[in-house]
This record gives sequence, C-alpha cells and structure tokens, in this order.
Amino acid sequence: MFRFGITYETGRVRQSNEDCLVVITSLQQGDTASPYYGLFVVADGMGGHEQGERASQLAAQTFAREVISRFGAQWLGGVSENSESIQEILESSILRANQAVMLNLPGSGTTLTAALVFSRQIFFTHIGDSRAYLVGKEIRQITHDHSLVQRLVDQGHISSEEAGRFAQRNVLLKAVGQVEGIETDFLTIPWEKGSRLLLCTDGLWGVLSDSEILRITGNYESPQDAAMALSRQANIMGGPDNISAIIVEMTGEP
Amino acid sequence: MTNSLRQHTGGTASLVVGTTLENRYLVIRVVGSGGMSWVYQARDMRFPSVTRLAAVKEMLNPSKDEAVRQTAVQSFEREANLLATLNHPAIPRVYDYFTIGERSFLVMEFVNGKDLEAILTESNDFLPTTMVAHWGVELCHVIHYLHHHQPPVIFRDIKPSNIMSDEHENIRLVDFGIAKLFEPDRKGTMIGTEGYSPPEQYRGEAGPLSDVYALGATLHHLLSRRDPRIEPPFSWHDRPLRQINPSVPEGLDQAVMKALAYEPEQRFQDMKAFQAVLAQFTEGGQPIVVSAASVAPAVAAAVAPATSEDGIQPKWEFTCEDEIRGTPVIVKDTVLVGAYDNNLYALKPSSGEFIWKYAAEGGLTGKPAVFEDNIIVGSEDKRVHAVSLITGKVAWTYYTEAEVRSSPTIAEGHVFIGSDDAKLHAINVMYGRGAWKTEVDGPIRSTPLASSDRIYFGCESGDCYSVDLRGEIKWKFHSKRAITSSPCEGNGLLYFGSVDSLLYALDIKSGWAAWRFRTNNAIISSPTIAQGLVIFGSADGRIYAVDGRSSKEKWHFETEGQVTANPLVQGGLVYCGSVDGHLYALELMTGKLRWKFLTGGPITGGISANEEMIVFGSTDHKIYALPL
Ligand SMILES: Nc1ncnc2c1ncn2[C@@H]1O[C@H](COP(=O)(O)OP(=O)(O)OP(=O)(O)O)[C@@H](O)[C@H]1O
Ligand SMILES: [Mg+2]
Repeated sequence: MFRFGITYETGRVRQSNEDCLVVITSLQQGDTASPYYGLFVVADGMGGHEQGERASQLAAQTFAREVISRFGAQWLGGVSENSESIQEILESSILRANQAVMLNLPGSGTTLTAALVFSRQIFFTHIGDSRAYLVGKEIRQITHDHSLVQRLVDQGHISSEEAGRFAQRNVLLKAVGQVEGIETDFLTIPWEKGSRLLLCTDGLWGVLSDSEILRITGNYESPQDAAMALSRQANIMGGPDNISAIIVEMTGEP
Repeated sequence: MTNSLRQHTGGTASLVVGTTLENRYLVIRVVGSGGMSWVYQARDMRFPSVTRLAAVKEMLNPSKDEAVRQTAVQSFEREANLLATLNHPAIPRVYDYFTIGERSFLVMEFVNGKDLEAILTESNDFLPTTMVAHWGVELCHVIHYLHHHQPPVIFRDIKPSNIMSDEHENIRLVDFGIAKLFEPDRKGTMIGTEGYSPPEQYRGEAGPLSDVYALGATLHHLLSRRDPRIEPPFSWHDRPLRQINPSVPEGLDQAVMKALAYEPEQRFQDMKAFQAVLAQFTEGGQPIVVSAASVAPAVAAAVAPATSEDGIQPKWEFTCEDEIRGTPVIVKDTVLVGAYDNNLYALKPSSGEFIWKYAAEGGLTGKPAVFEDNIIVGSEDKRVHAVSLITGKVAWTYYTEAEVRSSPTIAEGHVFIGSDDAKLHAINVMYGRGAWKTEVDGPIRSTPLASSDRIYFGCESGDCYSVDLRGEIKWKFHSKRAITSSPCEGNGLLYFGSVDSLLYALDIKSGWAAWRFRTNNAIISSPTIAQGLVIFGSADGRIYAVDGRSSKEKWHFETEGQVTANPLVQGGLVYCGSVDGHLYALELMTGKLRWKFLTGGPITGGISANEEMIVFGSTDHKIYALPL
C-alpha cells in the first residue's frame, strides 16, 4: 500500500496560497482484482486577483476527475477493447484541465505535475516548473522545468549556479490554461524499491538544494514527518513562496 | 515587454461608434487592439468639407492601483511626446493628445492599410520572400533613423502587429508605447512566450542591437509563418527557416539567423549593415554571400559521412539453395542459419566454410537457439528439431499440429515455442518431451520472451499474452491486428509492434498499455532496446528510435522499402535490413547513416554479431558476413 505525507503552507511572504494538492489512493481485493493505484497531483497557480489559487484548484480537480473517470473505470472493469494507453489518458486529462482554465479563468495559468502509480510503474505528466523527484540513496529529478531559466541552462547560456540567482527565475515557457492544445511531458519508469516519490512546487525546490532535500527526507522514517521537516526548513530559509509537497512510499507488493 | 497574457487583458473598447471626442473626433470604427490599448478610426470634424481621417488610440486602464496607473499614463504621454518629435515618412504623425477622466487618448495620422500580422494570418501561403526582404529594408531604414535620433530611440517592440503596410505599400511603424509596464518577479507576468525580444531584454537591458534581434525575429516569423510567441524563446535553431519554407534563399536565412544571434556582438552591428544584406534579396537585388564565418553557428551540419555502397567488402558469402528469411546465430565456432531450402547450415565464422547441414522437411524461417551442445529450431514441417552442434545429427524432434514459424526461447530447462496450431508449447529441452501447451486465439509466429517467471508472446489474433511457467494465462492484451513482432523488455515495460501500425509499450506486470507510438504501416519487425531507445522497423519504410520512457521519437531513418527485418544494436550502431535490399548501419544516438551494403534481394531476417563481424541472410539466397 501507499504511505504518504503532505505539506501545504503559505510561507512567510505571500498572503495567500496559490498551490493545490490532490491525493487519491485506492484498494481492491478479490480474485481478479486490479493492482492498487494512486494519483498524486501538485499545481502552482499564477495570475492576479485570486485567479492563481482558483486556476491551480480548477486544473488539479479537472485533471484528477478525468483520470478517475477514464483510468478508474478501466481499473474497476478490467481492460476493455480499444482501451486508451495511460499516456493518452493523462494527456487528454491535462487538455481538459487546460480548456477548463482557459474558459473559466482567462488570463491565469498553473503548473501541473502529476504521478499515477500503478502496478510497479510510475507514470508522470508535467507542465511548468513544479517538480517530481525520486529520493532514495540518491535524489533524482524526474521532470524537466518548462522555464526560461531552465532553457537558458540547457542551451549553456547560464550555469546552474547562476540559475539560482537569475532574476526571471519564475518565467515559464508553458503552463496549463494559456494556449489551446498544449503539449505535455510524459514519462514512465519502474518504481525503485526503497525509494520515495516527491512532488513539490518551486516554493520548496527554489529554496532547498537537492542535497538538502535528500538529507532532510532521509532523516525521517515517516513520510509525513519528512514533508513537515521540508516545509519547516523552507520557512527557515525565508519561505518566499507557497510550499507544497507530497511524499509517497510504496509498501509491499502491488 | 508585453506579457503573454495579453490576449486576455479583458478590457472592451470603451468608445462606441458615433461618439465624438473633444467635440472634434468622430469615432467611425474599431481598427485594432493590443495589450495596452484600443485603436479607432475617427474623422476629424474640424475639417467638415474634407474627410480627414485620424487614428485614435485609447489607453486601457491597466490597473486599479493608483501608482501603477500613474506610470502607465506617464508612459502613454511619453509615447505622445516622443512621436511629436519624430519626423520620418514611416512614422505616423501625431495630431493630439488628451485625457478625459481616467482615460487617455492619442490622436495620430491614420494609416490606411493592414498590419503585418493581419497580412500574414490572412494569407494562406508563404509570403513572397522578396516582399519580406523589401519590408526588412524599409524597416532597417526607419529604425536606423530612430537609433540616430537625438536622443536615440530604441523601439524595443518590433513585431508584425506593430508594423503596417499602407495603401502605397510603404512600411509604417506604429505603436511607440515602448515603456510598457510589466511587474517584475511576479509569476502572473509571464514574458516567456514573448518570443521577439532578445535575451538581454529579459534582463531589462535594451540597446540598438536588441532592435536588430527583434527585426530578425519578425522576419523569421514572416518567412516561416511560425509565431515565436508560442515557441520557446531563443529556439530558432529548432525551426530552420529553409526547412520550413524552402523558397527562402540561403543568404536570407543566414542574415536572419545572424540578426538572431544570442550574443549581441555576433549580430549585425547596426541597421545599415543588416539593410545592405537584406537588399540583396529584394526584387531585382543581387545575391551576395554573407561572410560565412560571421554567421551564427550550429545548424547541425547534416553532411553524411561517406556512405560507401562499395566501401564495405564482405568477409565472406555463402550461397544456399533458397531464400534466407530467418536470423543466423553465432555460437562457439559455428554460424548457424536456417534457410527456406529446408536446411540448417553450420558454417565456420572465420571463412564461411561449410561444416555440415541438417535437412528438415520444411522451410526454416526462425532463429535457432542453442542449449549446451544442441541447436533447437522450428520448421514448416510442423516440428521442432534439436540437432547436435558437433555432428549435425538429430537429438530429438517434437511434433506440433501445424507449421512452426516462431523461434524457440530457452529458459528453466524448457524450450518455449509457438506454432500455427495456435498453441504455445513448453518442451523439455533435454529429451524433447512436451511439458504443457497453452491454447490461444490464433497462430503464434513471434518469439516468446522469458523473464522473471513469465513467458510473453504475440499472436496472429492480435493478442499479446503473459503466461506463467505452468502455462496459465496471467494477462492478455488486445491490439487490432496480428502481433508477429516479438516482444522485448525494458523500464518495467514490454515493447512489441503490431500489424495495426502501432508500437506498444505495456506495463509488464499488469498488461496495461502505458503508451503507443504510431507509424504509417504494419510493424512486423521486432524491437530491440539500447541506451533507453526502442529501435524497430516499420513497413512504412522507416527505421525508428523511440525513447522507451517517454514515447518520444528520437529519430527515424528512411529506407526505400518496407522494413520488416529485426534490427541489431552493436557497438553504438544500429544494423537493420530493408526490403530495398540494403543492410543499413546507422548511428544509435542520431540515426545518421554510416554506411549501407546492397544485397541481391529483400532482407527480411535479422542479424547476429560477434566481436569481429555481423552475419545476416538475404532473399538472394546468400549469407553475408561483414567485418566490423
Ligand atoms: N495610426 C494607425 N492607423 C491605423 N491603424 C493603426 C494605427 N496605429 C495602430 N493601428 C492598428 O491597431 C493595432 C494596435 O495598435 P498598437 O500596436 O499601437 O497597440 P498596442 O496596445 O500598443 O499593442 P501591443 O501592446 O500589443 O503592442 C495595430 O496592430 C494596427 O493594426
Ligand atoms: Mg502593438
């Protein structure tokens, strides 16, 4: 089964929390039961006048609702003819979220990073600069930020050190709710035994280095304690932005 | 800089047609809008007997915040004052400026024409490159004027919607609202899709060379029809102009790319220099070459390394009596290959010298498997044969009820092999005794994969099965057409192709589809995985490399016939045969052709390799050994 912990904090500078988290876990027992699955989503909204918090919420909800209605239906009924692949389910669910934000909250946008864990496999979909990590003996960043600064690093124009100080750190190249038919990143990897999945917004990774995240996470046996320790440390570092994270562990066989 | 949320500024035109402003300007219609304003056509009623038209630009109230509003008003005033001091045929004249309550208006010469963004969207095809070059020349002229004005003016916002072509087809620069507001360091103000602005402008520094860049970006957009606002910034090299629009002359492409250099020092150093090059590409202009050394770098040199048809000399060839459709194996000191002439041949790897042959009673189409001193192979005579590697004499045979076109897999002391009798057979590898059979929905021609106590195989019914070591079906996945392609495993996924044109990646534990990748024709070729890439061929004529974790295509290589053969990856190269008769050697990471080798017939079988050579057969009846 899953063991997970979350943190969801405004931080010390912002007035409101524009992030949003969704966690869904499942269980089925029986002769031909499907393996359990979990859906984990973080979103970080943007846009003035409370639009940001509404955008992240609307996107995360719409996305999760779509995934549950498609994937969840298959999960309860077995694999049907012409069934969609998990990539197709995740991508069309993001497109739905994108439409919902464009239609209802024009002018706003949100990041969205989600992990669907099923069988022994993790399926990621991602837009923006929230991140997914696998944290075990080492820490490994799974997602690739869709940000101007990341693009400049990739092109070799600035170093990763400079990136941390770059003025337009929060300029995104892509976000949910900005243009029709957005392209998302998709990736699937097997769950590695003994590792934890971490999803977080830039309020966490922007102030804590990868090695700090690794060290702090490793200090706590319970994912909830680890999540709280991470946000505590981010607040100590000034808490300039909303801090949201989900830490997931898989125990036993799926 | 304008933020990307500009489409949603939300304000509506506040002036109704028929309104008269200042007792003087009668609003006739709305002609345009931008991130900060609405623009109307108006008639100046001071001149009742002649129709004097004016453009009235209304600044949108950008913010409820008083301080922000103040700055906006100031910048609008600055635009008005600046325009009033400029005198150039390409810059509209300013007539008036006034504020009514919270709203500010700028009255200027009406340009009777269209902005370039409108021209571009209204045209269905590429614009003539000579026309775009001509616009470029005129723009260089007016921007040069601005840069040498006292004090110098940096336009900072060159883009198609800020440039108009008037009724005489002269270029007019509109929109001098340069001191655009943006709130730094707040996520809401994304400038990420802006696209026309140079990197230094993102840092708040703009100089004459920034206008060079933005003009380059504008010309790129006009020539390629690809809107840079919806592409990642500075991604010009991902959109090679001439690849998108082949009618762009090479020199024009080079000039645009030079203007778009990331480092300002590498761009044209002033508008005159840019203008001189653009002039060569206007109607009647003389083409000259931009000095190659100064042109922006790294449009990946696509010079293929010498692809010698004849450079590769086979180490040896061996001729059989019929076509070879199967895949050879190299084991110990023997090359083994089954042919359609019913024979299994044993040859010396060093010379191709014949050692022995074993005659079955039907064609051999698969790949032999080796267990200790025995070779196992299936035949169209419905049997599975075990033959001694040393003597070439039969050790045992096993009967199925139909042709065997699947290849054997050996694991856990058993041979697993499919047959056209629609059964998967598990046979004791030592004695040839059947252990169990699993009945499925159609003939099995793919080679089973054995991995962690499961056997995976495709079936002509379109299904892919997972069975345990007792033959019990664990899951079954259905594709629309036959699965002849044999599965391979990686990243916790099972990869195989289907005649329905898709390559599938299934979660190996549950059999659920993780992703699928579409090609343009049947996939019979069996995928292989190397460096995280899934390599396979398709009957659409291509060899593909697809990232196994993200399903993204890394490259494909076009052959001249269907690719039904199985690829082999060895030493950083992909080897694969095609029905066009060639064996291709491609670079694994890029798909670039290293060399190709022509045989006398379609190649449909796979390849084997050792440290020194690769061996494969062709339907020209020959087995070839090529040195590595
Ligand atoms: N003098 C003019 N005569 C006729 N049409 C004009 C004139 N000035 C502007 N327009 C039209 O109005 C559109 C918008 O004008 P302008 O670019 O000045 O607005 P803006 O709000 O500053 O735009 P943005 O902020 O998006 O750059 C132009 O693209 C053009 O089509
Ligand atoms: Mg404009």
